[in-house]
Amino acid sequence: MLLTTSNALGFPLLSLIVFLPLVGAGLLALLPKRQDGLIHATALFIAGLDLVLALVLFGSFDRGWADPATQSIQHGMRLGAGFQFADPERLPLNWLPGGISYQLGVDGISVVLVLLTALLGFLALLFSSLHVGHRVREYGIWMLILQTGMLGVFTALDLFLFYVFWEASLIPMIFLIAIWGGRERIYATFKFVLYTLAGSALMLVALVALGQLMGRPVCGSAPDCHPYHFFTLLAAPSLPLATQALLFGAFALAFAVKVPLFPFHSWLPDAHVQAPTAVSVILAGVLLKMGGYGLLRFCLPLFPKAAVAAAPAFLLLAVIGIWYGAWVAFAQTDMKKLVAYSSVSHMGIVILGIFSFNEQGLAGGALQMINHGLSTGALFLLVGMLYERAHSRQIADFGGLWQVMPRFSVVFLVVLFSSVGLPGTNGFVGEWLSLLGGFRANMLAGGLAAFGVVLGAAYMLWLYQRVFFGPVRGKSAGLPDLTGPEMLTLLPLVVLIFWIGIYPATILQPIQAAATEWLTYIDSAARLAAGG
Amino acid sequence: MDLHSIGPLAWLIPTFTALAFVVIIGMIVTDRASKNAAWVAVAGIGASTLLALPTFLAALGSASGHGEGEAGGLAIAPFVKQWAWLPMGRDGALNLGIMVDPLSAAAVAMVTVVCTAIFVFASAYMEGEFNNYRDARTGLPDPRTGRNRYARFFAYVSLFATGMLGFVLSSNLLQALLFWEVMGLCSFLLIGFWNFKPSAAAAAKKAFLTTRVGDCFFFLGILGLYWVFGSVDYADMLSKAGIEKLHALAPFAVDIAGHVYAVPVIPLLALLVFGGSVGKSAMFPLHVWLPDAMEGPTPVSALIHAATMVSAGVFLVARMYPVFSAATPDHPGYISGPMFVVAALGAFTAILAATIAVAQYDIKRVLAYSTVSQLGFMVAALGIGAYVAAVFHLLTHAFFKALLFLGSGSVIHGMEHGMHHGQDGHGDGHGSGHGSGHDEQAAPYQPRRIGGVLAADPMDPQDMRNMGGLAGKMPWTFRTYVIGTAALTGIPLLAGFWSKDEILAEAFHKGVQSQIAIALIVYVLLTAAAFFTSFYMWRQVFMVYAGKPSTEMAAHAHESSPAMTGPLIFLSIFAALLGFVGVPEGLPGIGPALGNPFHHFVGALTASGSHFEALAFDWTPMLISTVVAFLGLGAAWWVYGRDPAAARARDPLARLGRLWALLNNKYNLDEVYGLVVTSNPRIHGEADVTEHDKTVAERLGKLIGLTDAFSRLNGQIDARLVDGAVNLAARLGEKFSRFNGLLDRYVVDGAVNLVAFAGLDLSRGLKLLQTGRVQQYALIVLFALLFLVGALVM
Repeated sequence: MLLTTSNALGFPLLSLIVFLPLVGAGLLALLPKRQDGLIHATALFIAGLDLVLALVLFGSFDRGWADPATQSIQHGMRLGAGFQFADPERLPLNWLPGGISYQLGVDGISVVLVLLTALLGFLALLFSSLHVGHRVREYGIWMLILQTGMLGVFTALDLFLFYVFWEASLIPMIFLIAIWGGRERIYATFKFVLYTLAGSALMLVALVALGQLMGRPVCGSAPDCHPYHFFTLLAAPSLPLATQALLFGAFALAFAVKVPLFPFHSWLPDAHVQAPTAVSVILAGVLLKMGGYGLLRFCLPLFPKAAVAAAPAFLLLAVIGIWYGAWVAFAQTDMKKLVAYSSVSHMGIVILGIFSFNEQGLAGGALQMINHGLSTGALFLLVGMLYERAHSRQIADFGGLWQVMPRFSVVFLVVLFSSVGLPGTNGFVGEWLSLLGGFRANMLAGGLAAFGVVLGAAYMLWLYQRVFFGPVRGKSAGLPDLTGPEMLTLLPLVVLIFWIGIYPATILQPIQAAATEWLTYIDSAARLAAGG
Repeated sequence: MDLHSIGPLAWLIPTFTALAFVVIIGMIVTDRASKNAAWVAVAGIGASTLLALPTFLAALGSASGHGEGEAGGLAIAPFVKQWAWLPMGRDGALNLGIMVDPLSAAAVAMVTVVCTAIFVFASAYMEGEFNNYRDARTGLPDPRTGRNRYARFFAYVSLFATGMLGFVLSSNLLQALLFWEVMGLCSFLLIGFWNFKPSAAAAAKKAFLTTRVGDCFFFLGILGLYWVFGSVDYADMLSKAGIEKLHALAPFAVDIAGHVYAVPVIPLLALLVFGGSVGKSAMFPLHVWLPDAMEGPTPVSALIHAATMVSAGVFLVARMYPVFSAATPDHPGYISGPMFVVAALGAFTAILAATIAVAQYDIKRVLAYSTVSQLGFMVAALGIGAYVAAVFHLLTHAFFKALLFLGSGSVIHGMEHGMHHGQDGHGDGHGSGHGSGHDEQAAPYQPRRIGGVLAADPMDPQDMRNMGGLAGKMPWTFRTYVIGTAALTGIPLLAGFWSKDEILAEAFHKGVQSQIAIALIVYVLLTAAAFFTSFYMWRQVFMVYAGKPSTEMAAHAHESSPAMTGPLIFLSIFAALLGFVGVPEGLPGIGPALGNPFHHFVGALTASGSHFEALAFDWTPMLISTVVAFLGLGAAWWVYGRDPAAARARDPLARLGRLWALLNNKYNLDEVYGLVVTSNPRIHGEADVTEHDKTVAERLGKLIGLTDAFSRLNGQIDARLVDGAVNLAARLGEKFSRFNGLLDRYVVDGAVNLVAFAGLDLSRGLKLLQTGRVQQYALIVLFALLFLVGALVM
């Protein structure tokens, strides 16, 4: 059931979504250089169109368990299973020699990530169109290429294809930070690239080994077999634990750097702070999710034994990350850096959920990725908007913003409460599920993680009190409130924060269906014994 | 009306107020904010009330045997209606829903009625916000912002009421947490309503974080209960089957360094849930937020202290009572381990707060500590198994404490009128963009201490030492205030007399007759607390109302408008008469005639099937508590009533010296917690800080600063050690790079930074030791609580 593909539309929607930004980038290259307005508008149009397509995708995604009461498998065929919108629908396309294939598809988890990517990509460009005036054409081109890379990562069904997209998303990031970044941008770029490359180099080696050790034996000498295709690997007999552990380690390291999992996180604050606002949004909102997604999608099902064995270590690191990120966030004086460290803390919750190996945890981890994308994306946008006005992000430079910028203050507060997981916002649902999962897997880990959440509330409120409350102080005086376009940029995020918080089923149902399915797969003893 | 016809509509009760919230926000967003916002809020809560009262009556009807065929039928089979909300995979889904049982029906009736009175009062009280808002920077009138702020206030309080109503009516624990946090959010917004005052901003944060420490335990408790039951529905947890399931659980084995400890699951879960109550109901050691919460406008204090937030904590323990008492199935009269903790903490909080209240001068602060103390009464009552008495006191207290807070609001309002009378003669100043008036004054108030106690700021409209003679100036406020005070202090026949007496009677019965040690301790502590309650409340009445005015402000004060006195009179009727629903049946004369309907209604526990037997009536505790109440009144008269003006000028009890200063400074608890909010020089600024505070601050700060230093240290480790390897690689890369400027930037800058840092480090290291922040305070409390729980469980 799991290893099925379908495409109800009979139309290569996914390929269109993935490559439309790339086409857009090409289009931008043809535009005259000085026409900033036209360039912004074109990039925005492309991203907007992509968002509409992603919404169509999400809307026509077969949710399966529309009613939790009827979540049965009795009908023989369960709706919402497998990968949908596969493109090509039945068989993968031969792409490169060596059996490397091209096929895209989404399940319940990746479909929401695609939507998140399209949304944040659009919002980031919307923000950029208001505030970026330096080398606009190049900027737009890189942003759109980045978009294609990220969308590809979430939809590729062939692991080699996945790797290509993975690396492809790195290159635009380098340029975006190094050219449009802050004062320490070069250093930050170095750090980011070194960290990431170290991870992905290992992943490439492991990927080739995986194809040879797992994929090849299944394929034998069959001509149309694809040893790197996800389905081939899933159908293969499981590897010995030692081999699994090695491959798992290589993949997991690459993903853990991206997440970032403590102690591989130190690239993140620099990169986040130095990157221009819109890139920070993408970096925190989407790029980090590639790590969590990789762990969830590939590490768990392909190396189940190694993953289970490594789970305690990951839970431990997740809990340390939750506490450590929050703790260090206290010591920050720069708002952007504070938000960056909060990411370390929040992504710890994601990892806690994923490595709990139960339905609530997996679904919670996946949902928390979306939530973090929304809330941290919004926080970076807000800090960016403040920076554009006051040219400072120092907490000490502000005070009393509540009186000066009431709209800004309210939106900030909403996002802040989403970030600290207040019930009624999306953060609560994700934290509840992840912590419940963690708690079920390991009471101590779940309990400690829950206390880390209090810490999260503390540093965020501390920030809020100092910047927004009290008498008007420092650079706060006379700042204009949010403009219409800025409100428009933030509106979708605020709406989603409440939507997911109040009616989580919209997003959670596909996630939950996929999580259950994958868990069944991972747990399945039959699979471990299957001969292929 | 039948519960089955009106019950399905109960979800509308919180929805009406939520709608009011949405409508008012809509008014603000579309720039249509006006005084109508208050009426929208009143209409919302009014509609809720109109639905809540018939629901309550219907519940009353079905509980008394007509509905389910037997007494207590509603408690065993409460009315539940729920909808799937959060998909949980193969576990099904979590629900949102409503549950109407005696407890929730009684509570929802109380909440709606009290909130309605508060909202009406606020519509007049907040007019200053509406009329006189001035831009903080320019000082010019800013009517548009004023209108918006007025409307925003009513949006917040409507949401607050929604939180409480949703919490009380919820059918499961997770939903309860959801609405519980909505209250937390609203308290943050409302306490910080005048957040341009640093003290209000700090108090808002303090309230949110302190309660959130408790919430964290609560959350863990919910996780644990879900782990046990696979559900968070009350119907599953609190039913007979659910409790049996709890009993069947094996102790939870904890392996610490090779030693395996068996942790009994029920006490652990019960205490975790209780952690939430400790935060929300302001039990020691998390009580510190509540007195500061009066930084919000006075109607908010009434809302938080009486009808909503703090009641929620007690309500939660009452709701989860079957789990608390389940730890000892075989001895119905016995007090289980978690109940022991509950009782001890409650009684301790009651006496602690009551003694602090004696030495306060701020009219609202006295009431705030009184609330903490009364909550201690309720919690202690639950701890010794006096369930009905606790719920009874919860309800009566809501009425008279709301009355007292609104009364104090009326007094402050009058005082502010008096203050402005002496100056420019227009309008009232509170909330006119400055919260309190004295920052506008020509000669700023210099805080100074006399014998360790802060002297009165002559321009502070809340300081009782500035009052006096208000009985004649504000007759209706005075009369209702006396009724509220009499009710709170347990003067016979008023509401508080009956409910407090019932708690004391049960403690007396269990402590003296059944010889349960903890009940005896509770009895002694609560009786002492009752004496102090009577003393500090009558002290307040004498200081505020008696004698001749001590200041110009008081001399020019005048009665508030009918929109404010009306709710006072309304609430005073309840404060006077509500107790008669719970008169012990055994009381000769009126007892049998009244029949104690309250006990019959609430006395059956939700779903678990147990029923609380009413005690045989005993004159002894009733006489003792009556004597104690009058003793307190008499003592207050002796000290403060004979010459109130002199007592205001120089407090006779200040002769107690250091003890008085200690009480006045709340046992220095805030300082112990890290001097964070009330006296942290950095936050509190010029307002309250004296040398005394600073020395205490410095001493304790050294201890607390260590955690701060640790946080910074982590930051440094992150920047240096963890990055070390990466930086090394980066440096190597630089050599080959074309970015020549880099070397300059790193090497040269680096050297400069190093030198600068070496110098800074020394001073910074020293400075670090003297800072206090709320997060450390939260942490310390957290560890203390963890230790406490751990110690008890072991």
